[in-house]
Amino acid sequence: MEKRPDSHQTAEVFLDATEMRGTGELIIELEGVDKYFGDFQALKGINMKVARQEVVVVIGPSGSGKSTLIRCINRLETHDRGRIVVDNTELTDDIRRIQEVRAETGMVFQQFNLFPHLTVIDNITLGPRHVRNMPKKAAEDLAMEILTRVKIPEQAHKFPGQLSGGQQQRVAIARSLAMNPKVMLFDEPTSALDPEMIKEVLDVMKELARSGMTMLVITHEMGFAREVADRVVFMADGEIVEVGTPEHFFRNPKEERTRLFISQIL
Amino acid sequence: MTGRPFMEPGLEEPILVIDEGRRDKLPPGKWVRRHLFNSWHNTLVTVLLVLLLGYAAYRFGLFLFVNGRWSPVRRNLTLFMVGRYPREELWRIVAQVVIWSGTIGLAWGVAIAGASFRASQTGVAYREDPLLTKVRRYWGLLGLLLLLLLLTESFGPLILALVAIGVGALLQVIGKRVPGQYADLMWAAVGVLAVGGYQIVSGFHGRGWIWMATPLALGAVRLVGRIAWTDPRRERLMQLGVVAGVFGIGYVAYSMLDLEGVGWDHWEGLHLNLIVATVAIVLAFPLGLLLALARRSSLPALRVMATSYIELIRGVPLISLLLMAQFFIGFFLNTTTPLSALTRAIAAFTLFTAAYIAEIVRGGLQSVPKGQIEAGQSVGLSPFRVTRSIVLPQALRAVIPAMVGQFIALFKDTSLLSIIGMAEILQVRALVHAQAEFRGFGIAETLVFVMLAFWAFSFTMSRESQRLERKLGIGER
Repeated sequence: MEKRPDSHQTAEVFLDATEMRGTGELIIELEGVDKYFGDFQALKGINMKVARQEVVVVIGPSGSGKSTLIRCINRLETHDRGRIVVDNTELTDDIRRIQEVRAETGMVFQQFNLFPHLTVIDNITLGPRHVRNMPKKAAEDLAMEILTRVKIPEQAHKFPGQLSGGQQQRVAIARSLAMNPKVMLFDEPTSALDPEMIKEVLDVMKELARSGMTMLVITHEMGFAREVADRVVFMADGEIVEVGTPEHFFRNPKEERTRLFISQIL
Repeated sequence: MTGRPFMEPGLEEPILVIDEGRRDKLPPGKWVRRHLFNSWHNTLVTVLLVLLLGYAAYRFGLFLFVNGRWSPVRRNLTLFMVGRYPREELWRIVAQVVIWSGTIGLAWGVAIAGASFRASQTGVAYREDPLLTKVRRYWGLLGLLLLLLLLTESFGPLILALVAIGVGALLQVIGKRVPGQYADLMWAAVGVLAVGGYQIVSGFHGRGWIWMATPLALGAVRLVGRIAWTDPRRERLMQLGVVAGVFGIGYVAYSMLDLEGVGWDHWEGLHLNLIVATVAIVLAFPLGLLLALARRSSLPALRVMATSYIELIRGVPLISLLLMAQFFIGFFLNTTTPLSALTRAIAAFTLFTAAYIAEIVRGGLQSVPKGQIEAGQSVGLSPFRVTRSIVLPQALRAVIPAMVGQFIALFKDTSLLSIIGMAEILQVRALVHAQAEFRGFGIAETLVFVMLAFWAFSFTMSRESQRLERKLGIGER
């Protein structure tokens, strides 16, 4: 399989969460981010940087805060302390700015969250038409182009309920791509899928990574991480425990907690 | 507990089969034996109930066909339908019936065209119901119509019914033939027909132009949207211009036309019940929607206002609101009110129903999963757009049965108009028995007739809501 020119995943490297790879040009920055749900602290002083065209895979046990982390990046959750900057825009309560950030940030959910009352093509054109003010025809042409890219153009006029899980998740990816985002966030995109459908979704994601998309992916698919990740981030108890290249994680993780987790999922 | 299904000795299959409420399909003879005569005590219950039901049916049949004194109904059919509406203006109501029949036919046809167009795109087979199924579906209303035609003593109603059904059928065929992608324009035509049918009685004058211009403007906006614009801003501008134009022309046309009609203080009988219910439904729905949204708003002032309104209205009887609107509103507004009595009554019905609709819709809003809203937000949609395009369509689908239930209640509650001195159909019955020849004569018969009229419409609404609910589930989820 072809390697991206800027990736170094063969090397066994231990990294800091703020040591970016990719192009080296900053796109996401988190600085001392805390997040509480009531008394429970979900994120504890997270520092992290992501560069353009970088693929970062986040792993960790459930309840470790990885979902909360990426949901803070497009402000589906609000953080309580620290700074989050996405594409030079700091996330504050200013709803207009947040809408702009969200439009630039694609998000793919574990449960797909397609709109069941709209056909596939309407699911995809909703954003371009109402956020980008694209005329209907142009939006539909764009949607068909992207559906071809995720290999389901023939499903364009069906309802989500008529599709398989794998197809639905590819529609969800297409829905995000239609906004031409600068970053894509994936929250366990294959966890709700039957095993035989996981591959078709991962293939689309790999193609996306190869095309140079900046991606932040929560997944337990270690094959995917090994193949396309520039960095792997291991989280536990709301903290970033260890960061490194995939090789580093699979060969020689430094922390005991990391070792235990890796041994459980492999 | 053995965990086995309940087995009757001597039977190899369980009698209690709980499979999603579906009845098992057996030949009638076998079904009867299996379900009604499967043991001595069940046989006893069956025999007793058959005897009881048979006796009740016998007495009721006797009342209907032998003892019943139906002349008060037979002689006053027109009175029951339209009350003391001026007889020389009756042609207006005849025209209204024909136009609205056409409206329903067109709407029906367009809906079918739209459904088959969508079906051809989604690959779900669409099959139109055969005529017999349709007749069976509306047997409540058709039965009422048949009864009216049997009771009547002239040919006028028969001709009217035939013409109305003919026009409806014709427009249905036209609606079906129009390609599905023009459905939005046809819906505008449906709106124009509906308003026109109303104004043929009420007159084309005053502020009526607003109601007529609204569907026309919506159609015009859609028409503009069909042009392949490259610049969305120019498209918006053009749409605004077209809307302004339509409203302007409507205003001028109505001030020039100024065709007087029969004011609604003269509307009575079943006609009044139907009009009041329809108008109140049309107005209460959007009001209830806004109240539900306001109650869930993040703005405290809005939320408190909506909540107090809803709880206040839901806490008092409808009749007290009607009385308040009729007799005491002057105290609060300190005015000799310019609004007609019927306007105030419709306002009371609308405000009352809106509070209930608001609660029903709120339930629907809560049933939409949070993930749907997050998915909308994460593509960058504004809060308004998320509500409008994602939350509301799903919420409303979920509450169709409850909402139609509320509308049926509203329709039946229009009988309360009699209490504030309006001659709706129940009050017409009192007028009939005030006639010298029918004083105290056939009072049960007239009441049964009025009940039947209410039932036919309520039953049809209820059946339609069930069908709509089933249909909207197809191809989704």
